Amino acid sequence: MKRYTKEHEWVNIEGTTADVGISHHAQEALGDITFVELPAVGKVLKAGDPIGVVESVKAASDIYSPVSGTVSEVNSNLDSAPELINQSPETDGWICRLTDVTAADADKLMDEAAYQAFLG
Amino acid sequence: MNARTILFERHVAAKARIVDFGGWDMPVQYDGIIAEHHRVRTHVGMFDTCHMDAFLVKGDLNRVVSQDLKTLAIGACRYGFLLNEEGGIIDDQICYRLSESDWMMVVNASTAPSDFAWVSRYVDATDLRETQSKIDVQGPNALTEATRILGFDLSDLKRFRWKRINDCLISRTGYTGEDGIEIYAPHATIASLWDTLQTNGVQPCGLGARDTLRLEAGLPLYGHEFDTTKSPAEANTLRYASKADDFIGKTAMLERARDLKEQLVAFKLEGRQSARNGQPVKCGEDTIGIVTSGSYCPTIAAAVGFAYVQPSYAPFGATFSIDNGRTLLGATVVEAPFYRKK
Repeated sequence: MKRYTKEHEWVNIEGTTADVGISHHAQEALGDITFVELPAVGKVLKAGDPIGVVESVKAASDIYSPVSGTVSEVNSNLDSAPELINQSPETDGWICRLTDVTAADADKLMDEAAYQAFLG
Repeated sequence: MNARTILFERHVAAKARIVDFGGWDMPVQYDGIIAEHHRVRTHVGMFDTCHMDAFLVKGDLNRVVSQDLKTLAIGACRYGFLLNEEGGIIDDQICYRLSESDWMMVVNASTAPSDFAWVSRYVDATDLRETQSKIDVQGPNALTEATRILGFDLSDLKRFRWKRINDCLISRTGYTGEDGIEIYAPHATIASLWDTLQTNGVQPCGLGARDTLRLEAGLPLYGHEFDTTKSPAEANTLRYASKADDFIGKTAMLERARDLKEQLVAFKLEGRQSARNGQPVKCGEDTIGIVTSGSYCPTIAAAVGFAYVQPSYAPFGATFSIDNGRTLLGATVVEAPFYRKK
């Protein structure tokens, strides 16, 4: 179940785990990404908590967790290759994986069609 | 509404991202800042720099500018400053010697109106904004591409020299740390040259790449490293203000050099994360300076920048932290430029 936030993160929830990243639209708006600050594994997050920072050549943007959960894994490929977010923002450019996720958290988020409509 | 250059519609048609830059709607990027940056470092790229201004000046400029004009030959140009009486930097500029007593002064976009008012107090100046535009063609292949595509014979054009071809004034100058030229010409000629260059494979680059290129090359930017609160003494640019006999602000500037309160340094960060303009420079609890420019730079693949710091933190190898509001980034003072062309 894939959902999007108004802040342009995506979350892909399967059971009680979820992968999180930023949307294609977000990476395009940011431009070339040069650095990603990843969250610490084990960090407990509430929906809306900051999970990291994505920096482009021109600016830095906070990323917020779309759902509550615990960081179980981070995409450490981004340390040396932050451009993965530009190349495949919604697959290889994932940022972190959460466990202990409640699927009901996704109810407040947009599905793909709603997100595309939100983008206009 | 913001001002627009003669090339604005072309940027929109090319799907460039447009931003405000000093009151001008300018392209920040076309296909991506990093790709555009590499294109200039390895091949060639062109920039719309029509937002910059130029004045035709008649008379004795020696009191007005910091560079030594007495030793400047007709056919050459030289970089320097406009200083106020306190030694503060009104702008940085390049003076082209057109004849014994005629000059073209090229200045920044946002400062152009105040520059013009200042210069006009001392000499007879004409603003060329209404008649002239400018583009920069930059990169290791800039001269050969301009020759191939435009038929310009640039074989005799040395660095910081200019020549006229048809209705163009062409100088071997730029703001990227690469070889290249700047072309000054009437608006319609500039538009036509831009189209011809683009049709023949020279791709446009935006202000984003212009900024990473100039930063990597250790070139300061007005409004960041320079403003009226800084003199060339603090800005480490006395070499552009020391040879001329006397000019407005020189006495104050030399006074400031004897008792520096702050000094511009180039720094390199430990990681890829960038410092940004306005972030405080810290040593322990103490704020010892402020960042003026900072970015990840693609060719050197490192995050670098400029900051004003207390003089005791200015020697090469000095270390400090930059507070980005979330974390402290470790930085070391290094020698500029960060990148030097081969």
